[in-house]
Amino acid sequence: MNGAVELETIIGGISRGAIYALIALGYTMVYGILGMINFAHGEIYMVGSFAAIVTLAILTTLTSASFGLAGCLVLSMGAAMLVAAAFGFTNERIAYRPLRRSHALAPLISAIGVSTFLQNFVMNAQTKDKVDFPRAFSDPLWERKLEIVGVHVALIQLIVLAMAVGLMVLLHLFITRSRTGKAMRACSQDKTMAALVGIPVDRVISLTFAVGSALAAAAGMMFTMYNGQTRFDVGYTAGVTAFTAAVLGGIGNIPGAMLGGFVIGLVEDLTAYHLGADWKYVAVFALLITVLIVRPRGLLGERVADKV
Amino acid sequence: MTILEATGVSKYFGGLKAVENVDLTARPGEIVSIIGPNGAGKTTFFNCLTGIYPLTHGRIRFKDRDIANHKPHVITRHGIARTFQNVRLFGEMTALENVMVGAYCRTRAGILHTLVRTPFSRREDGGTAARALELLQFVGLAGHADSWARNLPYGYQRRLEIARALATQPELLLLDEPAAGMNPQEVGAVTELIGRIRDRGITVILIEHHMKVVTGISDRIAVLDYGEKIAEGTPKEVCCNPKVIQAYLGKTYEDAPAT
Amino acid sequence: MKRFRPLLWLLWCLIIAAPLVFVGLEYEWGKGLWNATLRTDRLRFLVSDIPAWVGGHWLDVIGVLVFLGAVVGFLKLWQLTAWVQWRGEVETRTRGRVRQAGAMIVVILILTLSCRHLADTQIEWGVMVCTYILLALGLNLIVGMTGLLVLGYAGFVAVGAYTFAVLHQQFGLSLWLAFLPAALVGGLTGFLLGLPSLRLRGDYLAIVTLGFGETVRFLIKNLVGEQSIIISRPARVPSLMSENAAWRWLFPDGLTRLKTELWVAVALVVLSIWLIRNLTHSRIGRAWIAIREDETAAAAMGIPTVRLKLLAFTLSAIWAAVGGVFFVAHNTSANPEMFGFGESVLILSMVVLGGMGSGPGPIVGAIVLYLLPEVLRERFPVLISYRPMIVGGLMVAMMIFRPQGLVGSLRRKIELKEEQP
Repeated sequence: MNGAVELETIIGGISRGAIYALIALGYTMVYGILGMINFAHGEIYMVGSFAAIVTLAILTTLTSASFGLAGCLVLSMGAAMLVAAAFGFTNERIAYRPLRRSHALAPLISAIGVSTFLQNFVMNAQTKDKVDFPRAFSDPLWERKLEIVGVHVALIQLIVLAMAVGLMVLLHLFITRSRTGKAMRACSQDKTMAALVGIPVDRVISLTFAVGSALAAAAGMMFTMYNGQTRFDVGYTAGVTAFTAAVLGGIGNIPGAMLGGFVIGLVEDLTAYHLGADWKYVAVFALLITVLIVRPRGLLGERVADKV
Repeated sequence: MTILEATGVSKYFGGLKAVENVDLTARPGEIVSIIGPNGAGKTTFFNCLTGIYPLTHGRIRFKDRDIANHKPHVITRHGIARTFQNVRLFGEMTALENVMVGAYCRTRAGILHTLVRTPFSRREDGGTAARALELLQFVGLAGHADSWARNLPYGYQRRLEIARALATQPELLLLDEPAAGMNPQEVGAVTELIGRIRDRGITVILIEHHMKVVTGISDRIAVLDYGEKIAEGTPKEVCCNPKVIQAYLGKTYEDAPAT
Repeated sequence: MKRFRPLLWLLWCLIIAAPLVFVGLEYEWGKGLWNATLRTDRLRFLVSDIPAWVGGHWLDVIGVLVFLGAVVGFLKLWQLTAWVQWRGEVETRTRGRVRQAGAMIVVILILTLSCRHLADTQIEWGVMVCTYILLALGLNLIVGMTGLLVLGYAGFVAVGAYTFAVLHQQFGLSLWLAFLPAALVGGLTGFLLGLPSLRLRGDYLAIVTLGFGETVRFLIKNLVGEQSIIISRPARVPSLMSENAAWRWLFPDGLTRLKTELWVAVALVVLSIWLIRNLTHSRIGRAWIAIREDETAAAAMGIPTVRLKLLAFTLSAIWAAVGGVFFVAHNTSANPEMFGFGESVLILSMVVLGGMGSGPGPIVGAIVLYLLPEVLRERFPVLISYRPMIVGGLMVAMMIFRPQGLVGSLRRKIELKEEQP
């Protein structure tokens, strides 16, 4: 094939990667602060995608889409983020907080429970079938193609990329500059010490879940817009893929998650392009295994010594 | 004739030199104590000996075999057993089962034997149980074989840990503060137990803060401070060593350099 | 901030309640106009159906509760008398033999009687419950005993099932001959997957197996095909008919295929229970529990932790593969969609519900989570479609309120913070 198509694939991969990076951030943030993998994170992403569609449906039914295309999209994304943040918050409160001091498997099993519950809740409450993103909102963005040095790039790819990168920059600023962000970093270093200097650890953990979930929901909304449809079980594959991204970058490491997301997006799209779409999941899984064997701490992660 | 010979053992955590260039030897049948202020690197030194931490550098020879950086279970099979500073029993098992776990590396019944419970595995298991009971008796827990480990009183847990370590049939036993948190009576019992362990022909290296235990039974004492060995010798020599006094009590006014 | 707290809570309640309101929201895109209609009638199930049903069938409800209590109580009793006691292995061996013989007689009696009196649907339930018990027992080896969370168990089941299906398709292999190759392939898969992942922390293993489950499905779809593979009659469990008088007296209608399957399934379960019991009470079983309790201490006591975890993983995969072979033979066809994540979670929840690490736990779990919804299906059809949701909620609730499971051997642990070295 020619270079232009290859380049287009790469650009597609990067914009999908940006979405994965957003989900991976949630995994990494929770891992950094609680040292556990939040298996229900993929489901939050799925809830976000549904919330966005439902919001769009309501907006168009009630107001006949009078906010305009951009307005509706932004509103639906905001609503999705809000709903998902509430879900993430509740998830932590109900399923994780009571288990923080119990045996090691308990939070993991509880997370699986939440994940199953949410998946089947949405399936029963909405539908077993795929749900389309309203084409009236996504098609115009696909149709506008920009030509940059001979490569066709759809507007939607740029928008997704820009929004994702924007959110990441916001997150970075939040974590490095704000008081709460500093508290988060303190908690991830040492929760006991943080509590001793007056940081409300529980609240910080709640907030971490809320922020991570909101990011996942934004990713869910963008991914649905990009792919055109969603289903109750999309969180499962997206979750594993994004987790691979987080591990690849070094779990617990925020820049690592961003980097990992982009790499995974590229790997996925290049595999899909060269081997066929079915194989991209296998490629991701193979990558996960490879990383775990070769470099379990990931690209940017630090070695952690177990305490005895 | 030495059973353990550690030379130049160092362990760094990043920039922190937890153990720096420590030499220690133990002769068969000896009780060697390691003392030192909190955070001096005593437990880290144990972790290095038992393979839980990889060494930064240094050599460890046990029975003329290099065991530095071997896996913990391999080192145990060679004949070094240990207890932990913060008791680490298997809480969901009975006292007897805890001791029987220790016998794992001295038994051989493979998966096929155990799956169908062949006479061989049954015999071996019976032997293990009998030896474990005998060990429980040895440490004075004969009546508690069926109690859940986590329900035992603290002092018993410490002794159970010693029994579990003995079940691995060690030639060298590393005890990490066996008398910590005990009342004087229990301390006496533990001292006596350590003596009896030595009488079985097992070499003991001991980390301990109770000076009564240390001076009472040790053949030699090594003193660690800030990861380095600052003194070694018989209990008497060590107690009079000015460096040791300084490490424990700080500098006296006269000794302090004029500033 | 304090002043706004009630407001924040209100907002939170609203947001959480919002999806509930949208239960059954139906929307239709296109034609320039979007219609969103609220189908609140679907909410009825929550608001009126359950209370009405409970009101109308309170006797049934009590019956179910009594049944559950009886099962748990019986097993508890059994466990108290048999499971833990084993110090005087030598003295109690004869007693154990008597008990085992008694249990076998009871099982055979129940089986014979059920073959005479039970309808086919009920026997079908029996076969399926046994299959799930088999799978749950295998999963308990790794999750309960060794303390490693495996989330792609259905992947191993699929490996076994498809080894059989493909061998059958290619060479016409029958069920009996397929057990061995399926177990081998299953075990090998487990071994190869465990090799890299068991060196890592437990939650990594969980997600690797999660990915594995899905990958197996993808691979089967792409390499074998998406269509079902049919297992032809001769390869399945045969029906046993005979004109022999004693046989006619024992089984007046003869043993149909389904009834023979029940016997085979029960035999597999009994065999598994025996093997696993042997394992639990051996040096290997003790080493597994030690690893679960404290991996570092276990290693320091001379237990090669990685090798033993690998062993548990492999064995568990073998159990899954064997269960998969039987399941496919019973089901008469294999399809990649049968071995999804939902299946893994269902089996896991059986283990969790019954009690991780306990002997009879998985059996109780399988009975409660498979049999109960099936039995109640006619009276209360919603239960089946809402089972995954209930299972999810149940897993959270169990972890919070009763982590040791219904039967329970794993006691609640109050772990102290690890001290600095």
